[in-house]
Amino acid sequence: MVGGVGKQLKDAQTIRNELLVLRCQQGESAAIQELIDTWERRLFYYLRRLLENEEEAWDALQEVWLKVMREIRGLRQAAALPTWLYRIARNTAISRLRVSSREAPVDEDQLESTDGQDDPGIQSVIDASMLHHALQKLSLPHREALTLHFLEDMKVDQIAEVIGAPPGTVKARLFYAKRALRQVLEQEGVAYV
Amino acid sequence: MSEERRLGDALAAQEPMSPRLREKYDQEIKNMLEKRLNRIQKVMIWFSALMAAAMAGGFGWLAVTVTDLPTLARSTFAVGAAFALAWVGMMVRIRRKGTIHLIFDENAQGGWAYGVTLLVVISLLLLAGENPDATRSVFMVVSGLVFFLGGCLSLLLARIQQSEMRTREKMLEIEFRLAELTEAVVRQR
Repeated sequence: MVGGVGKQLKDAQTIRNELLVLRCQQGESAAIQELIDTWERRLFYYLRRLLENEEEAWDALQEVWLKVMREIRGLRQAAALPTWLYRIARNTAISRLRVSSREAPVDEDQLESTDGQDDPGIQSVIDASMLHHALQKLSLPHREALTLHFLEDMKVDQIAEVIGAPPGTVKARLFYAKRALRQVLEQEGVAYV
Repeated sequence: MSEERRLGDALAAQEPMSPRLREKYDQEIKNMLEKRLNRIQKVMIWFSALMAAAMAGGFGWLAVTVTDLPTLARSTFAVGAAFALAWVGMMVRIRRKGTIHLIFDENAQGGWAYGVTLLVVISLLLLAGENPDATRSVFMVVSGLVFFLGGCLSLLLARIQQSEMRTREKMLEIEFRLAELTEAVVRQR
């Protein structure tokens, strides 16, 4: 019964996010500070995976908070706070990189080739430090997808919303990203499940 | 806390942070609410202050020198001059600071605009009663009522929205406690 009720109720983290958004929308400055304190570390980690140096990442993060403060009143779905924050962070990083934000054309052969293939099997990584080290060795698209997956436990549709790509593209990207990660971890001699 | 959340926290903690850059960022965040004025904004502020000063002078002159006007009209001009001076004061303060506080200054300007609207409405309604010309009186009353009803509607909508948000907040707080209790029970099992 309790487990069934647990599935129907939103998890505490989602509700906490909604409350925080609501308080920010009402102009509570303590709520804005709480929002920054709660999310800055993770957003900074994500921005560092996209940007080349630390100083740029800090500048980008500051820009992110300015945009958040301007636009949070327009956020209709408070539960979508994580994807909304990461989308702003991504767009900020991309404008700094001065590359097109449009996704590269989908490689249809790649998409088809993931059908029927098993997930590369990165179910759990032994420790965060090895994962952090391995992420550095991946390409930017793979690194980005895996960062969102491991940092926020984002599912395909959430990652798709952040990067503005179709879910099929994201699914293929995650598949190849996990495969590349597995290869890096094997080279490092890391055991994984 | 879920396993995934713990991994996310542990992963985020892997990123080293330069203390110097961190300190610079913290300072910028503290100053974030205060936005530095750009050149165009500085010019606009001076222009706005000059226009308001001219209006204050004009209204004040009318209030003091035109003795033929009814007392109510002269009082309205005097209050209008005071509002214009208040605007000049706000603009000078912002210009001297060199920054605009995104919440405080914007709220102050919003409050000023509300006060001016109220002044116009009350003035039109009161002066309409003293106007010997019936047509003009009706026009003034109608104009005043348009402003008044518009203001009431805005206020009502804002109150409804605030009330909805407060109700939603209370419901979320209850949901949050329930979710925490459920997670605690599930973990114990």
